[in-house]
Amino acid sequence: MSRARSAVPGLALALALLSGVALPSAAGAKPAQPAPTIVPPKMLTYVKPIYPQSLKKQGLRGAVVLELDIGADGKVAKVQVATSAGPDFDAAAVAAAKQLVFTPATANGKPVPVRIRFRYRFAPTVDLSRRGRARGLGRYDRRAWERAPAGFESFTGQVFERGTGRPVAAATVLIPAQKAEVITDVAGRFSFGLLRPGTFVVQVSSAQHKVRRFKVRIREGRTTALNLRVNRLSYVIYRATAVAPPEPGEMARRSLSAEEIQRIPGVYGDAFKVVQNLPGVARAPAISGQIIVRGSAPGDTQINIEGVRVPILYHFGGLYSIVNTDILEGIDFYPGGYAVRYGRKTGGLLQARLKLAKDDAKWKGYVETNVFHTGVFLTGPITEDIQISVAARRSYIDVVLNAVVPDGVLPFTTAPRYWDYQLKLDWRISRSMDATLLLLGTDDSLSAVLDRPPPGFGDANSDVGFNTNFHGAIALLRSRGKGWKARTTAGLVRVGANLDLLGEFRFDVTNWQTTVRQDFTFGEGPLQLRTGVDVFVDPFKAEVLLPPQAADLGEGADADAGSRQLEQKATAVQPAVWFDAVFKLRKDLEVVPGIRLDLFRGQNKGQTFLPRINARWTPKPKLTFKGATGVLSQAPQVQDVVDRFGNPDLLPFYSWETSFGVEAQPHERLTLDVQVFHKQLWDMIVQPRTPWEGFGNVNAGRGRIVGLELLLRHPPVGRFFGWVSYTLMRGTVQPHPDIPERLLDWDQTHILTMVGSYKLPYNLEFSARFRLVSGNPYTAVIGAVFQEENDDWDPVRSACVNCARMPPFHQLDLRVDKKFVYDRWLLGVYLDVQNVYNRANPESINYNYNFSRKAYQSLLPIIPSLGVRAEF
Amino acid sequence: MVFPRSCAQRRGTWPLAGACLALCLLASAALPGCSSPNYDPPTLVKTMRVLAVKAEPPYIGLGPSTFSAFVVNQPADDTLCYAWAVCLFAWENNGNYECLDPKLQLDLGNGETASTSLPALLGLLENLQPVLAEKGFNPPTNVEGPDGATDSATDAPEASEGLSVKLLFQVSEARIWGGSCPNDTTTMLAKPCPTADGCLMGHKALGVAVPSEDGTPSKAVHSNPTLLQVALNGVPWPADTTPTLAPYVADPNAPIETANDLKGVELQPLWAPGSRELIAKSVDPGVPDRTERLIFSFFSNAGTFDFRRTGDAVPENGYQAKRPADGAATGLVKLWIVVRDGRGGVDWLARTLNVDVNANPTDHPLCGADPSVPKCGEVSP
Repeated sequence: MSRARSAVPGLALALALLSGVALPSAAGAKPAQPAPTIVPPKMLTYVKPIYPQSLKKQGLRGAVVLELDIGADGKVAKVQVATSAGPDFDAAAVAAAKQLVFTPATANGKPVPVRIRFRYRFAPTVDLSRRGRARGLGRYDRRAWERAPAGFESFTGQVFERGTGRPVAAATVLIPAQKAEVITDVAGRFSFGLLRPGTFVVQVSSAQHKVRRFKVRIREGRTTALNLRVNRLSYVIYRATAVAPPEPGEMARRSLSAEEIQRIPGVYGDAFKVVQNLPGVARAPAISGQIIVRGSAPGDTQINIEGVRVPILYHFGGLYSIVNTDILEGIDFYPGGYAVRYGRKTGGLLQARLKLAKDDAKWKGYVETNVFHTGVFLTGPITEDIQISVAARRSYIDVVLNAVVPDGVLPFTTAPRYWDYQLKLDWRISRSMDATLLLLGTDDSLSAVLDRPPPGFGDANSDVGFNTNFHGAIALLRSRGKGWKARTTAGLVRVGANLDLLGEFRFDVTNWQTTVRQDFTFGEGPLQLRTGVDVFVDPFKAEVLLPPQAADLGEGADADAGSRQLEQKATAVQPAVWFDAVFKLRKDLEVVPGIRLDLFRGQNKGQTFLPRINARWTPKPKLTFKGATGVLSQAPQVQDVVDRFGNPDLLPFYSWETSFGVEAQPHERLTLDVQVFHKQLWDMIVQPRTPWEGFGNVNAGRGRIVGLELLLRHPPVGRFFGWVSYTLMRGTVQPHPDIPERLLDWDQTHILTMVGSYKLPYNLEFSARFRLVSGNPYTAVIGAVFQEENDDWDPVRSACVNCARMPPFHQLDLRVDKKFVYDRWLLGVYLDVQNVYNRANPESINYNYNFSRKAYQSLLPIIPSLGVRAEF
Repeated sequence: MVFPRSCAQRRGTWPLAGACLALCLLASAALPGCSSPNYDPPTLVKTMRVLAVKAEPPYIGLGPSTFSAFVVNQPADDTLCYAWAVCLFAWENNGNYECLDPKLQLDLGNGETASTSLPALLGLLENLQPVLAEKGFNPPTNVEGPDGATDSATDAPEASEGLSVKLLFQVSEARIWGGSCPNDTTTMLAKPCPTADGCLMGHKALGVAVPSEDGTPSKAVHSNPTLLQVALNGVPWPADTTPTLAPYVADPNAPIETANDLKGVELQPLWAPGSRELIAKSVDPGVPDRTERLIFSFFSNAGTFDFRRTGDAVPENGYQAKRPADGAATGLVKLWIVVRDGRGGVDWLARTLNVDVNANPTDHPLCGADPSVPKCGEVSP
């Protein structure tokens, strides 16, 4: 039977006295009388809790806070769990606490019953025989304790990790000359009883830390208290990502932790851009950050934070993610085949998970600066049950430019500038309920003065400017009971965007995106029922000043035809209900049929009834076959249906997706996921076949995408993590029945991505990413026509649409991280070099003025960037 | 790393280089175009070009409207071939403008000029409805606008801006046809041009002035603007004068603050009063009346301009002359300026100047030719 070493009686009692408030019972309290003198109870008998056998294999740590009612006789009358660490730890703590004996608390000298708080900490037993360096140097000298006065401590302290300040649990503190040795508890605390006076070498060692020796002077009759700091073996920490097994109904979830995201070269730690390195995702134009999944348009992929749609992903459309990755636990990416709880999009699903509150009493944070911005991050506990995390960033290019460039040289009045913030509160309400609140916002601005108004803009002022911003809140409430779980999500985000072009063309758009979700899960056995409501409401208002007509040619060329000032209002109301059932037909076979009903109201029309089914068969522990098929739908975008400019009669379009795959673990540290998929698209929104068929777009297109995806992955274990991702794909679309089928704009036949990160000595880390991708299709230009009225040229395009293809893309990105360790903080420095061999990757075709000459246009040269982060 | 040209040209201090680097990084992160091919600018005319097509008057009305092309850099030893047509209904098909149907296209011959009138288009107008019916034209049902007003298919931009037609033309050198012009309008107007050089195909939108029942003039009726003159460094430049100009030499020591300032000589187009005509009175308080806005396009067969086009708010443009080709000390350079009013109205002028490597750069190019400037060699007071 093993016992928790960490539950040190003195410390626990001290904690009890500090944190618990001794309350006399209400009986007999009279307000008019002076406050009684209360003496808290003192522990007479300490009982260690028994470490639960069921958790021994996992080696978990935990802390249980109890509320003890101590009677006037000093015995524990009642025990309640105030803060749970799980049922096993709770039971062990309660069992031990019932055996505690105290001296009774007194009020004015009379014993009274009181209630106190008491914490038990659990840590797995340390096997000293494995503690290499300490072995053979002798064990703790029990006789010294026996000789010492009760409770006397010659030498006490805590062992901390240098740089991070984390307490080091289960470290061995050894005084060889005295043959004395103790093991630190979960808080890194240790204490020695009676020691001989003198100056001695104290040696601290732990499995994850370097051995370090200290000289300590022990004085007779006095207690020496010291904090000892030791270095980690490596500060480049690879943690096996705690990725939960796929939820029932998930065909392919690909998860990346925040730590992995921050190590991949070329994405600057951006949680959204990193998805471009996973299978099924096409290469987006450089820096654009678009997420193009299985041939779908970028806007067809749903991007959420905890189920709430994110209106703006990047600063300046693709520069940098608007959310600090350290607020996130990680991301889950579903290229397709996801459960019916999600809908309204026909592409993939990218879900960002907020970081869960840790049972960590320490404040942590950092200040960082990189090529784009400077930012701060801070997280820590407010109370025992409430944690807060705050992050903020601001770009500094405008500050630098203003400082170094003389006035009047640059055209900017506001150089490109962005800032963002996030504030997250995690509240553990009870053992069965917790809540999270996230406030977030972002603001991008740019304004410039032109030397002169562009031709045709008359006497207009010469300012151009734009601003995009959003501010909002996301609230989550997770509750659970016996046999059920519920999750409530609410999000409210105000989105604003405005553009002013020389005072002649302006728009100002505001919308309030509101999301409410309520999900339930019932049952835990062979049948699990899941259902939920998912409501999205998006009121939209746009004020537009239209530009003056460039060509006022004939009859009716007149402002009478319509005011230049225009206001548009619309509201998307999209409620949905969903239901699925998880049938565990056998131990190795799971089938999840589900349905989803989406209503599209307000600016949109129609309703869609979407069946989906998903199955997983695991004939062997490391081998799973899986398959999914189902229908998805997506409403037209607001610009497609808004009055005057769009077609209000447009209906949602559909995708029927079928995929089959296999998951295997060919090696202890390798996982393989291979899938084939087929997507059929119909009622796609396309331009009318001819202009005389109407002004707005129509539901007429059909498409087909087939492909294969492969992901071979090495988790962050040992010194390496990385993956190889390959996608083979072909996507075609037929805009109208009488128009020939053509390749999709994003059709990339081969997409190969290799990512790897290797831990080196001296707290160095080296990462690399290589990509090899087929070029995008395009329509060749075969001539040009002079557009006389505008002194401009129109290309004459080939009738064979998307029949030409750009050259392939390939690029190598490298990154080196180095950490410098100081006693109380860490300095991290990285060098990220994009496009190491300076490949001029064609992003588009650049034509001369009359399209008689052409050249491929590359965008990114070799780009080294440096970042610095100071952590504490 | 390839810097934008403006960065490369700035030879400043290290902080400025740093700022340029930062700008380029930012630009490379946010904008395309930190590197671009070194094409000739559209202002540089090296081969035969049609710089404009004038319609007189600049609309199709009851009377004849005559079309002529402003062709420059025509090889002296080659004949030009012309083809003209007018299309009643042009549309964009996969990015290409096309006449909807041959029955809506009227050939106007192969002369150096061509003309047509509204009566001549009546035949096409008669074909319009049958063609649209044949193509399945189906005007959408009326849609109630946000203000309760009812918009209809006729609210589409084409209709709200009035009826317009496309004038189609092709100008080519006879050599590309084997030395003799084909005089086959259909062949010549089939896109694209047989060759990129020596052949130019274009189109021009023209309003149609339909007579009203009450006799009020059509709003399509207006005039071509008149480009009276161009001023060279503030002095009017007569057409028969050939000023002398020193080649432009960039000043490597110029402070960065002035790097973007105009250099070389300044050209200022001067237009006749009435060239900017009123289009319509505004119905929005605070929004000015709609008047034509003149746009000036600049061309030369050597040298560069600061801007490809300027507007009437700031019409001036800088011109930098190049050293004459083949190491010659002097060379003649042709300049052309075209003005457009945005409604099909157009006018142009041409000038010639002499670039002389020995010219005194401090002299006004029109010194001696205009009494209002100091004589050559004299310093202005």
